[in-house]
Amino acid sequence: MSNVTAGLELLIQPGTLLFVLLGLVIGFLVGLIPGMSAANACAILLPFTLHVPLVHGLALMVAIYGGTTYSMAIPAIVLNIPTEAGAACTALDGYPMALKGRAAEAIGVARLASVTGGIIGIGIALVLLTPLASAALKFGPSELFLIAVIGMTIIGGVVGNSPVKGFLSGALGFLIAGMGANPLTGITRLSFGQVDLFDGVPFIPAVLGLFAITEMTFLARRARRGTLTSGPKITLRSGMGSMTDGLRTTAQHPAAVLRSGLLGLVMGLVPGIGHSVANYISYAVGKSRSKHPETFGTGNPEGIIASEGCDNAVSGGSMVPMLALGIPHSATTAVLLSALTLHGIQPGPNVLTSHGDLAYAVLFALFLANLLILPLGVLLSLPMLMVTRVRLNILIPTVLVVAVVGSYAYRQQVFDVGLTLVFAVIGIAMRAGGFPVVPMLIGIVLGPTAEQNFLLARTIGRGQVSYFFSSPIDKVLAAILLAILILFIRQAIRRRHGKSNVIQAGRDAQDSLQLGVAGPTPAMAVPGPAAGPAGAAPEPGAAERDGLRASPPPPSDSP
Amino acid sequence: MTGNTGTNTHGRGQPLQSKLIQSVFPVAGLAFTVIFLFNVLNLGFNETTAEPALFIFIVLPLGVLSLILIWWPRAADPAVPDRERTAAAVTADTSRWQRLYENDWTISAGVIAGLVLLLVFMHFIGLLLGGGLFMALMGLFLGYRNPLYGIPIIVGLMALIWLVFEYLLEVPLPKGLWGI
Repeated sequence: MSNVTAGLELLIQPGTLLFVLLGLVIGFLVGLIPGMSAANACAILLPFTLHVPLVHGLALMVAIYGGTTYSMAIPAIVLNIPTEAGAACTALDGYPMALKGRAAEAIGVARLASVTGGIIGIGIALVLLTPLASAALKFGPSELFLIAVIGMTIIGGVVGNSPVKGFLSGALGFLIAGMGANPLTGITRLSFGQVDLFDGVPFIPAVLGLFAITEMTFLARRARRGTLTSGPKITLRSGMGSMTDGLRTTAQHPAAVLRSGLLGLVMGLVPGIGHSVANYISYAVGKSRSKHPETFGTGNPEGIIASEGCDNAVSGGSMVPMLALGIPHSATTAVLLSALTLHGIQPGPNVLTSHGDLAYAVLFALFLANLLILPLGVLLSLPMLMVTRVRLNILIPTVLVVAVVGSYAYRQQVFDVGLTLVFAVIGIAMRAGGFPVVPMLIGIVLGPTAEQNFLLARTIGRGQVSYFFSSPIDKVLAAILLAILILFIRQAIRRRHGKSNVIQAGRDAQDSLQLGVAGPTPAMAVPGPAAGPAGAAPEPGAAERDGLRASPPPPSDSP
Repeated sequence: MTGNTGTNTHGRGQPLQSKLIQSVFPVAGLAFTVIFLFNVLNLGFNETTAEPALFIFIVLPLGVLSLILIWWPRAADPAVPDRERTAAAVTADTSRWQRLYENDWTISAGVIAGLVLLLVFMHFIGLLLGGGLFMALMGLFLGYRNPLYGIPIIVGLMALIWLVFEYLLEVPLPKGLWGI
């Protein structure tokens, strides 16, 4: 209990509260800008957080995460531009509502669903953290090594469109993490004689290169082709009154909100199940439980509740594996883990045992950010629409310069800027070749933990492989690893035979967005009849009439 | 494809997921595996040869996955061949120069070349001036043509970077050969 109160004390410091507020506003803005994502924003701000207390930096990042998750709904509803794949599900019913002149109401529905779902998710995550902390004490080096391998396997298998490519990306990430000195013997490996690499590959150039610069490069392709401008002139005509109606509508569906919040929490607990997949699962479940499933996709507020309630709950759930086991759920949580590592805290159960107050402070900060979404969202909704008009040919050079400055500021070495460029080239090539970059980043983040625990376990077990499967926890973890591998192989076989499921639908939705296909695809969204075509097929010419352009941006790679 | 507001223009220029680029990582992974195993066979399986005991866990899966992707590329994406996804959107009515201008790889190369140029600028005229120059050039490259708004934005951002790094965080920004 002392950690809980200590965490609260850390949160209620004026500095922490200020960073939560700042992060929320940044998150709101980031979620509105096509091509930007929470992971990108956190990656860009990572070097800055090294100059403030860790709790402030983490509060800033989780608030950005919460704010982005909410504000992504606005362009999805009003403009049918899902800035991340997770928001595509919201557009299924949000955009048809906007076409019917109920945009403000849809935003109101999304706001309360987001807040409530987030509070459910984070509230239960807070309860789960304490028993996990005591269970984590029983984990030794072999268990921690197996957990890192399990985390990597799940993320490699789920993120992206191909498990084989995901695993390869993760293996390359592990390999990159192996560069530099051996943590036990000090012997340097794979450093190409570069003194700057003797301490290993620094996280910040890797994060900025793989995410921020790669993302901007892909956005630049569209900006220069002229297929994307983010400046549609559309305003909310319905005003604040309709937003209140939206809040009331959500309040009238408590079961739907609770269901989507719980589903989001569960999905958040599983590493690699990104927002898009979780939202589509929640949407499918919401539709199956609705009294009017035939209206899903035509502007049913329950569809927005299912998607948005789940979306913010995923953020809460994703904090649990990250804080308790050191397994990042997504790109954003991987960047959060990088921040911990950069401050000298090894990811894993150690975070809960040695820095429990910090772990609770992070969850409380996310909880507070979710609470603040309601009043701040009401105040800022209309001005926020202006942000969607930012010109990309100004935004892209700005982000690139900030990324370069950030990569330099970490160690004040030009070498790191060059390294950022190397990772950018790797990121561009990977994305162009269909290799997801998230497993690589997670491999880089988890690699040192995996290696250190592997070497420790090997030393304790005197080189016997059987030591890795000696304890009951080891056996359970090994069985889980085996089951996961079998599941992925089975899924691959099913997919070859043309059988799909909701997880595949989520992946396909993300894939379709990356290929520049406008709007969500209801046929893919929910397997089964009556998917509701109006969600993605508004009346002909409607978009052009509203000043919208053809293609949405590619969503970020974060799951 | 969706019956929605636009068309898929991703296919203009070259298809994004060409066979060549898809092969880069598997080939690199396989090459690394072969070199690693060769190294282990020659130098022995001990602590001083790049930690074979650990790397075997990474390198062997890397080699196997690379082999799968090289010999059986459809294993990666059996449902929809990449070329089919993009070829439909390739438009034939654009000129050669227009296609080059809109080519994905031209744009990516342009952005990376711009960043390399920024490194050169940093060396000679420092980050603040070099960053401003980079923003102007990159804006032009991406089609921004309005100096009335562009210049104040560049000056404002550089001033903000100076304020945050030099003044608030006390991180010295790189200065060029001329001490700017």
